[in-house]
Amino acid sequence: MSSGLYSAVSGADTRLRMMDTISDNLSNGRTSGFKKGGVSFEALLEQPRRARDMRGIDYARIEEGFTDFSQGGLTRTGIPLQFAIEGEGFFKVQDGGGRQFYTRQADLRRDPSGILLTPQGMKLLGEDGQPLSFPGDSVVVDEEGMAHLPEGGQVRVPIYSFPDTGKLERLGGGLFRAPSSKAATLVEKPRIYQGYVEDSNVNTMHEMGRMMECLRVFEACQKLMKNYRELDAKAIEIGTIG
Amino acid sequence: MIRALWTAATGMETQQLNMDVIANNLANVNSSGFKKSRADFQDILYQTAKLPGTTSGTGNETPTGIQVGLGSRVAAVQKVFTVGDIHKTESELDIAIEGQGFFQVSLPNGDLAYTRSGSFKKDSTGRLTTAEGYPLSPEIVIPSNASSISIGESGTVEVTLDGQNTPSEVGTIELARFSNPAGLKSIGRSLFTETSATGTPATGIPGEDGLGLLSQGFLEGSNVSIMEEMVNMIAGQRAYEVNSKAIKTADEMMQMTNNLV
Repeated sequence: MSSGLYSAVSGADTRLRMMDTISDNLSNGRTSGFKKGGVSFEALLEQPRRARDMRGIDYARIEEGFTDFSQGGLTRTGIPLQFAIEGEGFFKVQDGGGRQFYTRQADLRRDPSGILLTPQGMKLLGEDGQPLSFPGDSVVVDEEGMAHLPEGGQVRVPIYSFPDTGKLERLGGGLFRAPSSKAATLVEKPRIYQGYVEDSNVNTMHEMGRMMECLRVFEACQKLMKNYRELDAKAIEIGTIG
Repeated sequence: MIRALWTAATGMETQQLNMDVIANNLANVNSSGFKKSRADFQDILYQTAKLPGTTSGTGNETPTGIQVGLGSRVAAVQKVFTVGDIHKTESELDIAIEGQGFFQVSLPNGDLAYTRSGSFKKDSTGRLTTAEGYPLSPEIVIPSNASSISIGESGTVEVTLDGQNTPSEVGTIELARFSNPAGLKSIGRSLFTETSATGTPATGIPGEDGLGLLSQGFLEGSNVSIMEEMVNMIAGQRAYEVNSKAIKTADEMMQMTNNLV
């Protein structure tokens, strides 16, 4: 048996996983604040693991799945409690158990006491780590993230950034969790738009292109597997005594 | 089995619901006092194959992990309480609220409902009611011999009786407001009821405490923008289509695998 067959299998397998990511991106093409996922595995092909006993066989494997934090388009909704961030940064929210998460999807509600909540009921946190509360009817948040309260005074709606966004874990629901060792820093000059949402940064064209490529590479790997099978069949034929 | 199939199916499902919401908005484009809804989406949980920040074999920290998402879902369908266009109707019992606040009406079971649709009628006893016959609360009775009705900006209802020159006051229309109107529950007929999320309503005289003023002879139309809904519909339809393509591709890949043997 030729071990090259397993190269082809690993190639097909990685394409299946890539298809999962593409499908997730497409499914979230209209999810506000969504950041598309990607996979990279080509790098492993370029650096074959050449041990003496491995005869230079390259396997494809997903090396990393990453989140592409590029900016999504801003769409005006006119809903005063929706906020979009332009540029870097995340809103900080807290669940009932005191766990903190980061999100770009600030589609908020107000509970009867004026505390701002995400659709899952998480509280938006202020600079002091306490939930932000805007009692009263209207609140105006300027582009630098300062909320002007009806009774006078200003409160900052803080947004935080990370030196290395790659270490953020995706949780679904538009949430990201930061590893405990990485501290978030307050963004000094944020750009926040009230009454806007940030669209998903998925580019349908791009994803379709990737999907086609993925399908064809998968097909090629299948053809390879078939060829190996034929080769093996021939080898068996030659070896047959009679 | 390949996850892509189910992932893309969730995308189709959410877009289907999005279309339902858009269709309802468009169907009510001419309903007075109607408030449009908006569907918001979220990504769902991630299957984590490798956590970011873990240590790899060579002692280095991996900068990113491997996480595959499993699709999208509807996070919320919320009512958007922006003020609709106000247009003139000449009917003396049409009232529009210029700003925040809701009219209060009594339902047959005695509960209060709230509406922005100010197209009132008179019933046989002269009470002001909605088109469905739900009386305004507090009740306002127009005497049968009233020749004209005038409703002031701050809700005072005055009638001029036959043969009299000076108008007499018969009541005041009060408005209610909520700290979180998005939490109101729609019960159809442009009516809303309070929930635990809205907080208790505060009632007051129009024009005070942030409540809007009333204008007689005007009606508030729906706040649906046909243009915006059309664009949303196109985007939703294409998103639906692209997800169906993803299912097709995943299917093709499985078919190829089946043809191997």
